[in-house]
Amino acid sequence: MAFIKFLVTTRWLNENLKRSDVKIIDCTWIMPGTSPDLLEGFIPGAQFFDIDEVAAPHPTLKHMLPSSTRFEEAMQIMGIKPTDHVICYDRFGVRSSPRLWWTFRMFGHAKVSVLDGGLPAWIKDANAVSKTLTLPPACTTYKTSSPFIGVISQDEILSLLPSSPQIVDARPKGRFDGTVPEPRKNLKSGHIPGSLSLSFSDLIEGEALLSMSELVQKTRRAGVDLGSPIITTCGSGVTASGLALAFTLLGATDIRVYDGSWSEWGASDAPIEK
Amino acid sequence: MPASSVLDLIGNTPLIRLNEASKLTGCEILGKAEFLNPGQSVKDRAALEIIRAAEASGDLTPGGVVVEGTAGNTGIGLAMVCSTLGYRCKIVMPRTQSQEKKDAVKLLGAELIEVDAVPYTNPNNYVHVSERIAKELAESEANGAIWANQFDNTANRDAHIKTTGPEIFEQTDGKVDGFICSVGSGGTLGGVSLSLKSLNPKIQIGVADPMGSKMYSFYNHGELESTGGSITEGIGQGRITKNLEDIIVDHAYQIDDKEALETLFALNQLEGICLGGSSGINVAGAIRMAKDMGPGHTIVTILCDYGQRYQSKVYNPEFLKEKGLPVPPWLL
Repeated sequence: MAFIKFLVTTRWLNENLKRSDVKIIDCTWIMPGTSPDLLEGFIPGAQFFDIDEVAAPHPTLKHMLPSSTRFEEAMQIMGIKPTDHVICYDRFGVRSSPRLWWTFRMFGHAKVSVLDGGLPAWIKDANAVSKTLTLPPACTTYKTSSPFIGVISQDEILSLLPSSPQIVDARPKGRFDGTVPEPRKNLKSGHIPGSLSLSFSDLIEGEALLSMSELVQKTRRAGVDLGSPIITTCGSGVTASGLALAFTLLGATDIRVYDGSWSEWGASDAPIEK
Repeated sequence: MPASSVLDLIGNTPLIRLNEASKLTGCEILGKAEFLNPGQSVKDRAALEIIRAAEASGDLTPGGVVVEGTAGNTGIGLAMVCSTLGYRCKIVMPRTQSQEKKDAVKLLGAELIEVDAVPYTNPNNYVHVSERIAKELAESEANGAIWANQFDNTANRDAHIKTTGPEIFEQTDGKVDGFICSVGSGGTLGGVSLSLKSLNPKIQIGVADPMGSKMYSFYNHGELESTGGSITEGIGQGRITKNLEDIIVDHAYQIDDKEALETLFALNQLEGICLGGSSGINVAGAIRMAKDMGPGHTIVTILCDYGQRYQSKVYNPEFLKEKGLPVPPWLL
């Protein structure tokens, strides 16, 4: 088992805040067209990582996984070393933080955790908040390694479809069933044929992830077999990373995130099920 | 790299191949060496998770108090975790418990509160007393006071969903076919079964039940009934605790003390492992489950704690003779 806890509490972070190897990253991502009412401020020492900015350029998909060179460059500017313990959080609770967590796991970073409850939990527990982001420490040399949790493309999924791969969709049930319209324009409704529905929002209570007992039961009820290879998907690869985090916490080791997710699949001619 | 505290040493215990049991059944029978935890039992995992959950919910802040009614390993685990994290720990125990256990709790810095040994139905039973103390303290303690409540606090089984289950799956390269253990609080069986069934729904779950406990009858035919009694400690249960809710059990075995002791003595003499009575029930259960499942399967069970904690009973020839039970031949 990994030595690192992939989910840390605000208590843990408060106790380890001053450690020079602990690097805190706010990676809040706001869905276009929404203006949520979010808490102000930053966890002391936090830098910001923009998943739309450190991304592979794409005409329509805004936050495709960056190239390893692009990621290395971002890490070097942020002064992050491959041996650092990176803490990802967002201002919603646990929303886009798993996306950055997965990005680090994808690039072979060993010690990376999500802050359970994010900024709301940090503030609720009466911890100090900084008005500004922190400037990065001196530049480092960063080299990516082989992935712990991989990525999968639409073409790869299409070639796997005849062999019924296990695909789990994190979008809300209504969008999965095609009864609720997609928030992004020009997308069809429905889901990838044969995929399972497990809405990531059902795995969150308040701002934090559910207990392990509840996570494991929701996963079981959704029909997910955690011991077999899993592909996670969602709207644009954000909450699919949330599923990847939850499944990892439950012991799954063979997971790939479908980065393009419904933003790509629903805009293409790929087969759809409703 | 050094561990940052004793808490980092909880869990990640190795699996040991039990060679004699494997030979006897044609299966791979593997024991999870929980006695190697720093508090020397499987209960360290639950103790840590119960306290972490109370911290996360805000019920406990540094300087707060943890109260539990327990006669054994949970008290030792809680005392250890509390000392490490700066909590005060109060353990309520029946006066009749062995001096070794009282001492173990006190050595780790917990406060020991002794009460008369009365049945669970009596409001002065040690479990109820511990709940009352915790509730009173929760009103007056600025930093909070919690009742650990290992039976119905599902943070107990969360520990096993998070650690023990995935460890077993990984350590067997996913080849585990069955898991079996006995039930006290139900945390280990509840958590490991939920975890393993989600990692592979085909994995079979068994319960190994001592005499006097009602789990065998419940998982066998749905009735909470019991007969007889057992000298084993820390296991046996008369109700479906919260930690056992919604779990699937495929096999149930009743193991009497004779079978458990013979298994335990074989482990001492043939495998060089000296374990407590509950491990005897567990390994005997694993052998029965292996025989039912047939050769070629990999079956994992829990080796809960060391035998040294039970020298006055399980390894005491006079005590055993009085009860008409098998005696460890090499101690005569």
